[in-house]
Amino acid sequence: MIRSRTGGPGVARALRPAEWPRLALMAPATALLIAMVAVPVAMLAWFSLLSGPGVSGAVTGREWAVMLDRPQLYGGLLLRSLALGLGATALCILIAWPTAWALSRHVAPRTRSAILALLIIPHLTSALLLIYAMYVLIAPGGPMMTALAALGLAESRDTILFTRWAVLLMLTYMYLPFMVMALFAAIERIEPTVLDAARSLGASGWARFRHIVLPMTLPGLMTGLVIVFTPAAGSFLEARILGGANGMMFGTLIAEQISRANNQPRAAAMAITLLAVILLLLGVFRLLAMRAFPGAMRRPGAHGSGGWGG
Amino acid sequence: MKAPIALAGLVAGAALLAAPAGADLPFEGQTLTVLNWNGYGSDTELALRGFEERTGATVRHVYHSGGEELRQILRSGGIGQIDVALPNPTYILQMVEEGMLQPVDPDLLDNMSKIAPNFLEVDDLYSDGALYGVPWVWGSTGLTYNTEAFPEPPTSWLVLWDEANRGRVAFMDSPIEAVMLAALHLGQDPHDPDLDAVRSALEELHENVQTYWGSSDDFNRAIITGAVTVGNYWSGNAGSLIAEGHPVGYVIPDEGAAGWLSTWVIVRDAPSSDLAHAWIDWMISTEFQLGWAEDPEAGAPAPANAEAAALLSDAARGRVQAYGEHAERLSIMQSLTPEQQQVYTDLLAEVKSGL
Repeated sequence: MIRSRTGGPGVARALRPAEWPRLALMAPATALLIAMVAVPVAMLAWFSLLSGPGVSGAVTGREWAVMLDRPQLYGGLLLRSLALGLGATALCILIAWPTAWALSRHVAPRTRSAILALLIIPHLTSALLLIYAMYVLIAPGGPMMTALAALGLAESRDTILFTRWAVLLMLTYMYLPFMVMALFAAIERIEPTVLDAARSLGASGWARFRHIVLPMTLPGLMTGLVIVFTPAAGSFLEARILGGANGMMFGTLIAEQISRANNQPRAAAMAITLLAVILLLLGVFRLLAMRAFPGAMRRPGAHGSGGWGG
Repeated sequence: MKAPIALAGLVAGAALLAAPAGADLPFEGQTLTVLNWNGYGSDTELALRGFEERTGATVRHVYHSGGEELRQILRSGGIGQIDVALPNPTYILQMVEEGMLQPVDPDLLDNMSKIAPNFLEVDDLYSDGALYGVPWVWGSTGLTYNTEAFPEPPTSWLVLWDEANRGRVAFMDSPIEAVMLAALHLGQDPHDPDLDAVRSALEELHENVQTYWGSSDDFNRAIITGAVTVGNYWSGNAGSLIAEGHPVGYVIPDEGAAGWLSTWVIVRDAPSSDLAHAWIDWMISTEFQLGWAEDPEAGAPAPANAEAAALLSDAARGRVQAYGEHAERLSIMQSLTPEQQQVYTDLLAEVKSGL
């Protein structure tokens, strides 16, 4: 537990000496997590109970009632955002897995660093810039449509700009490097000798993937899922610029409640709903993964010394 | 481009001649503090030198980046330091209630009579019958169209609802503008329409909308690339597109359009109330308003001074979209109550969601 933060010297002396370094090392991160995660989430929960506008209204729970009263709007937008987030995550996995595998197994280390750098560099600029770059790329008469038209695949005036396909494309591009990184780190941990052993015992390519590679990269995959799905499902800027008239997302509505109606309580209620649903989905995915591959999610060497979260 | 500059110079010269040479300048050595956006007219060479020549006073600027920050500056020590400011009139009532402003005495403003009368009818300028805001410049949100797609200029908002323009409309992503436009289209009071009718009209319009634009960049890109051909857009930005030679037209439809005003206010406990009045009188003078609007680089909106508007060159009039008949058909946006803000926000969100 986090006694080290609040406990005085009396409490500290009661601790076993071996716990000292651990608590000291964890203290900064613990303090940071309390200040930047626990407190804000608690405030969010508190705000959501007030009635807007502003955060000086009475505790009525009215904003929750308004939300539940319009399931079509709030539920519909939530489903739309989740579907888009899941779609982008799935595409990221499909593209990132072979990429990460190739980087880890088929590319010389020096080239590999260069490729990883190239993958990341565009994402060091502002997200807004990337979105506008995509706009120019897929605009009617833009480079992509002109190229497709030259190949006779489409009219150069036709475009996916201002559709949800454009948003899906953007979100996939936006979060792809994170998925590549997560899977690359997991694939790097697979000992080549394990695969050699499997091959020598007659395991086919598919069997090696199914019984060795997939389970061993599962923790990386779950990490990538968290890193990609969570922000993609809550995104709204991409949809606002590239989605056109179909660009309304759950996140858009949250942002508008704050910037236009000054209704922080409604926005807080919506944010909590989104957070809860995302956590629930991630939990379900984790459960499914553990069901399918018992033991795969257990990290080597992590025998119960982790988390004070229980 | 020569004619307008010569004209502005002529007016400036005439004004200089009119001032008696060597007369005592009434505010010699004093300093006026202005709170405004950076680069919004009041800090031009024309504004600063013209004021100094008239009054002998120098001008100091404090900049803000939005209505919220403007009020924050006044709250945190600006009162007693700052003489004049330029808030959106929708903020005036709140600022009066917070004790930030003092009334303007119209009798101290010689140029007051030149302000187009309809701008002085805006409720937000007054509190308890006293004038607090002096109209300076204005703009509108009118019908903007691609002249190649519409060789015949449209004259009605109906064109946005026309089935022929499905997927060709860029509509502004602003609750108040959306509600006002739909109300005008329906022939209702834009400040207090039947919201159910407005909702149905906007839902119908949603079928035609290609994108809800959020910034001038979004609109410009959409209309220049041909992704859309018609929409509602700000006069000043449409004027810039026209001045840059894009195939774009701008019109205030017969039903009218939403508009905005920038207004000067005097801050409570201004170091010199007389000097503040002198500044506002200079800002609304024909000489300043004409000079600012004629400068193609200055980005001026349309002048509220009707005399200045009438004297504009054709090029400048097109750039700033200062057409008298436009001004008459405007409904100036007024402050919304927090409840209205919530209702309008939710209404447009529901329309945009398509759910």
